[in-house]
Amino acid sequence: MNNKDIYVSLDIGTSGVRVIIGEMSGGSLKVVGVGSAPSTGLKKGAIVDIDETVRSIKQAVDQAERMVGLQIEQVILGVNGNHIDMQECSGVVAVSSPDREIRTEDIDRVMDAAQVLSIPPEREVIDVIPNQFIVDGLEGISDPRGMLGVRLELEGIIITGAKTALHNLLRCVEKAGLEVADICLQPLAAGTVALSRDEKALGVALVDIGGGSTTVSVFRNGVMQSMSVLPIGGDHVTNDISVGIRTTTEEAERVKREHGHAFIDEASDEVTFEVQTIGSEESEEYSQYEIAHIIEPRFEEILELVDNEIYKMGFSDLPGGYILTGGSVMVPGALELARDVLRHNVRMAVPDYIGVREPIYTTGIGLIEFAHRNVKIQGKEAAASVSSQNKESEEEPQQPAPKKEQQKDPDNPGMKKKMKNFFKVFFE
Amino acid sequence: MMIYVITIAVVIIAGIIAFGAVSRKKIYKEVDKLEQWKTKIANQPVADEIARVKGLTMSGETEAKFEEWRQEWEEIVGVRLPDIEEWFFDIEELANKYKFKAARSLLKEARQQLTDIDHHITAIFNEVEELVSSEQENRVGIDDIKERLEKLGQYVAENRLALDESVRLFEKRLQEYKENVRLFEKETEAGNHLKASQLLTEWSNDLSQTESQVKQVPAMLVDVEANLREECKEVIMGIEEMEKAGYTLEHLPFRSYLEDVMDELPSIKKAVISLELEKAEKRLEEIHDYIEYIYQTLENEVEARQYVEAETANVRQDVKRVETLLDELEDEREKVQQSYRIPDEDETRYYNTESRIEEALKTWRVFQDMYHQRKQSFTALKESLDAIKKDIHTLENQVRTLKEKLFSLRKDEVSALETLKTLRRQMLQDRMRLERSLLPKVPSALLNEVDAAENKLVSAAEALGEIPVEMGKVNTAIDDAKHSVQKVHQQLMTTLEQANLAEQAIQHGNKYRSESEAIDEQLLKAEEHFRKGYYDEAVYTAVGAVKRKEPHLLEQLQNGDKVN
Repeated sequence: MNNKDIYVSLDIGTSGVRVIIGEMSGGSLKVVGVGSAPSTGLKKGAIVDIDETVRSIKQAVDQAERMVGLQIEQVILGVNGNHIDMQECSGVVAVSSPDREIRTEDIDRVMDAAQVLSIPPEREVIDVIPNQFIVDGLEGISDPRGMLGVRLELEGIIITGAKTALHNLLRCVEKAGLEVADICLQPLAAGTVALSRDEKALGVALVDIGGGSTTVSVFRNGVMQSMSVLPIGGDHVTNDISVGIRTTTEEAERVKREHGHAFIDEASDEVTFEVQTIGSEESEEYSQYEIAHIIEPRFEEILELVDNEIYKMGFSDLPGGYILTGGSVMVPGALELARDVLRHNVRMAVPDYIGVREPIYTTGIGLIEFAHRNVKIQGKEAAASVSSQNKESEEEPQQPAPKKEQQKDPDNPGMKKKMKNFFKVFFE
Repeated sequence: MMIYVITIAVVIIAGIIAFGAVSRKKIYKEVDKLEQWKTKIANQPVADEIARVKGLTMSGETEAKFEEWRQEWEEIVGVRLPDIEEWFFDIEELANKYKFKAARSLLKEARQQLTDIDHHITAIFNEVEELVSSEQENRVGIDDIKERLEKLGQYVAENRLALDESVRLFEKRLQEYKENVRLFEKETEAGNHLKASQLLTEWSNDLSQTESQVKQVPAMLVDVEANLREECKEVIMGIEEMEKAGYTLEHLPFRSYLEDVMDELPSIKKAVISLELEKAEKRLEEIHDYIEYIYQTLENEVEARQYVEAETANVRQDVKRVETLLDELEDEREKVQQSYRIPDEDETRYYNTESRIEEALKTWRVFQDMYHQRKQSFTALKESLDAIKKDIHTLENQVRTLKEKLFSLRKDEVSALETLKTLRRQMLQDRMRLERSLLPKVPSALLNEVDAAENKLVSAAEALGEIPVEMGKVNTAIDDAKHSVQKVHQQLMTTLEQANLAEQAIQHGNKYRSESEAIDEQLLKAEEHFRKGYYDEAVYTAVGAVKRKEPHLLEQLQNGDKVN
C-alpha cells in the first residue's frame, strides 16, 4: 500500500462509531479496512460521555487496524449537529506570483480571506467550501490552479460550529490517540457519494436517517444550500418496538433488523417470530404485520418532520426528489413509505464500494471522497493516515518521514496549521 | 493201541458209571420227595372230614354224597396209594438197572397220580364244606325268608287299598312263596341240602323283587293317579295364564302333550297294577323329565320377556342414535363434497353402511311389530333383539369411523394449508434476506429458482382452492413447492455466503493493489465478477490474486477468523 494515498474516516454517530480505511488509487477509492463499534457516549448526536466515546473510537479503530495490519494515526473526522451553521462567504486576493499564475498558496489566501467574518465568540470556523472561484471576473471556476490572473475571488460557504461541541469531539479523538487530518461536514461528505451531479444541480434533499438523529440537507445548483438535524432517528423506532412488545432494547433492535417492515400495506402476517418478553421466561409470537403497526407510525413521523423541515428551509419543490441514506433506512418498506408520505420520487443511496455496501457507511465513505477532493482543490496535504505496525517492514523507515516533512514545511501549512491555530485559540 | 482202546474203554466205563451214579441219585431223591408227599396225603384227615356230614340228615343227596366220598377215599387209600408205593420200588429198581428212562416215566406217572389224588381230596373237602355250610345257611336263610314272607304278607294286608288291584298278584305270589318254603323243607328233610340251598337263592331274589315292587306300586299309583294328573293340569293352566298375560306359546306343543299324558295315565296305571313296573317307571320318568323341560322353557320365556321389555327401550335409543349419526354423516358428507373429492372407496363404504342401516332399521321395525303384536315367543324375540343390538352397535361404529374419515380429510386440508403458510413464510423471509443483502446482482439461476418456487406455491394454493379439493393433487403440489422453496433457500444462502466471501476477499486484497499491477488487475476482474453476480468466480479470482501474499486467505475467511 502507498501510505500517501491512504485515508481514514471517522464517523461518530449516536448508534455507532465507524472507521473506514480507504486507498485512493487510479482515481478510485478502494476500501481496505473497516471497523465499527457501538456508540454509548452520544445521545441525539451530541457527546454526553467523553470516556465512553473514546472507548468506542478505540474499539472501532482497533478493528480497522487489525484488518489492514497498520496503525491509524490520522483520521478525517465528520461533524454534524444543529450547532452547525452555514453562511455564504466570499474573499478576494491578488495573485501573488510574479507570473500571475495562480498557485495553492493563492487559494489558501483567498480561503483565509473568505473567513474574515464576524463570527460569534462561541463559534468556530470548521471549513470553507468554495462554490466557485472567480478569476478576473470569470465565474464558475472550480479549480483555478495554473490559471493566470490578477484577481482571485472565492464564493463559498463557511461552515461554523459551536466551540464546545467541536472541542468535545476533538478531545475524544485526541484521547483516542488520533490526530485529526481534516474535519468535514457529514452531510456534505455524504452528498459526495450519495448524490449525482445532476441531482445536486436540480435540487435534491439528502435525508440521512441515523440512530439518534436525522440530518436533512438540501442541495441545489451543485452546492449544499441548507441543512438541519432532527433529534429523531432509528433508535426511536427501536424504543417504540421495545415498549410495544415489552422486550429489551437489544431484542427490539434485532426484531427491527431481521423482521421489521416500515410499510403496513406490504407487511406480511405470515412472517412470524418469537420474542422474549421482559420479566418473563416465556416467548410471545408476533407477526411482521403487527410490528409494522409500530414501525410505520414512527417512520411516518420522521418523514413528515423531514418534509416540514425542508419546507421551513424554504424549499417547496425539489426536482431531484429525496435521497434516503443512513443505517435506519435499511428497514424493508422504508422506501415505499417515504414515497407514500413525501409524495415525491425517492430513492435509496447505497455506497457502491466493495466492503461497505450499506447506507450506514455513506457518510464514512463520503468523508474520504470529500477529503480527497479538498486535497486537490484546497492544496491540503495527502492524508498520511496510517503507519506500519510491523517495525521490520520496508515501509517503516519511510513512514514517519513524510509526516515530519509535512510538519516542518512552512510553505504548506495546510490543515495542520489550521488545527494548531484552532487549539491555540482554545488555550489562549 | 491197545492201551488207548483200553484207556478209552476205561474212561467210557468210568463215565457211564459216574453218569449212572448221578442219575440214580437224582431218581432216588425224587422218589423220596414223592414218598413224603404220599405220606402227607395219606395222613390227611379225609375220613374225619367226611364224617362231618354224619351230623346232617343222612338221606338223599347227603347220603349219596357221603357214600361217594367214602368210596373215593377208600379207593385212594386202598388202591391208588399202594400202587404208587409199588411204583416207587419199581422206579428204584429200574434206576439200579440203569433204565433211567423207564424210571423217569414211571416217576412221572406216580407224580401225576399223586396230583390227581391231591385234587380229589381237595374237591372232597370243598364239597363237604359246601354241604355242611349249605345246611347251616339254609337253616338261617329259610328263617329269614319266613320272616320276610310274614312281613310281606303283613304289608300287603295293610296296604290293600294302596296296592289297588295289584294286591291280587302279590297275594298270589305270597302263596307261591309259601309253597316254595314247603318244598324247601321237603328237600331238606330229604337231605338235599344243596338243592334246598339253590331253591332258597332263587326264592330270595324273587322275594326281594316282590318286596321292592310292593313298595313301588303305591307310590307309582299315587304318582299316576294324583300327582301327575294334577301337575299336568297345573302346567296347562299355567300355560293358559301365560298366554292371557301376553305370552305367545301356541307354537309350543306342550298343551297337547300334557293332554296326551293325561289320556295315557290309565294305561300306565294298568302296567303298574300288572307289576310291569320297569316299563311304567321308565314312562313316568320320561313324563316327569318333559314336564321339567316345559317348566324350564316357560321360565326362559318369562326371563326373555323381562329382558326384551328392558332392552327394547335401550335398543330404541341406540337405533335413534344411529339414525341421528347417519343424518349427521349425510350432512357432513354433503358439505365436504362441496369442497373435496371424496375417494371412491369411501363413497362405496358410505353407501354400503347406509344400506345396511336401512336393513337394520327394517329388521327393527319388524321386531317392533312382532313384539307389539305378540306374534313370536319372547325367547325368539330376545334372539332377534340381541342380533339387532349387535348389528346396530357395529353400524354405529362404522358411521363414526366414516365421520372421522371425513374429518381427517379436512384435517389434511388444514395441514396442507399450514404447510403452505410455512412455505410462504420461508419464501418471504428469503426474499427479505435477499433484499437486505444489497447484492449488486442476483444470479439469474437464483432468480429462476425463486420464480419457479413462487409458481409452485401458487399452484399449490390453486390446488387447495379447487372445489372439490383433491387431496392427492394438493399433496403432490405441496411437496413440489416444498422442494422448490428449500432449493431456493439453499441456493440463496450459498449465494450470500459466496458474495460475502468475495467481498471480504476483495477488500482484503485491496491493500496489495498498489504493490503489484498483477494483483490490481486480478482484483479488478474479481470486482467485475462480483458486480455481475458471479460470486464463485469473484472468490476464486480474489483469493488467487493474493495467493502468494496470503496462501490461506480463503480458509481463514471461511472459518470466520480475523484476518490481517
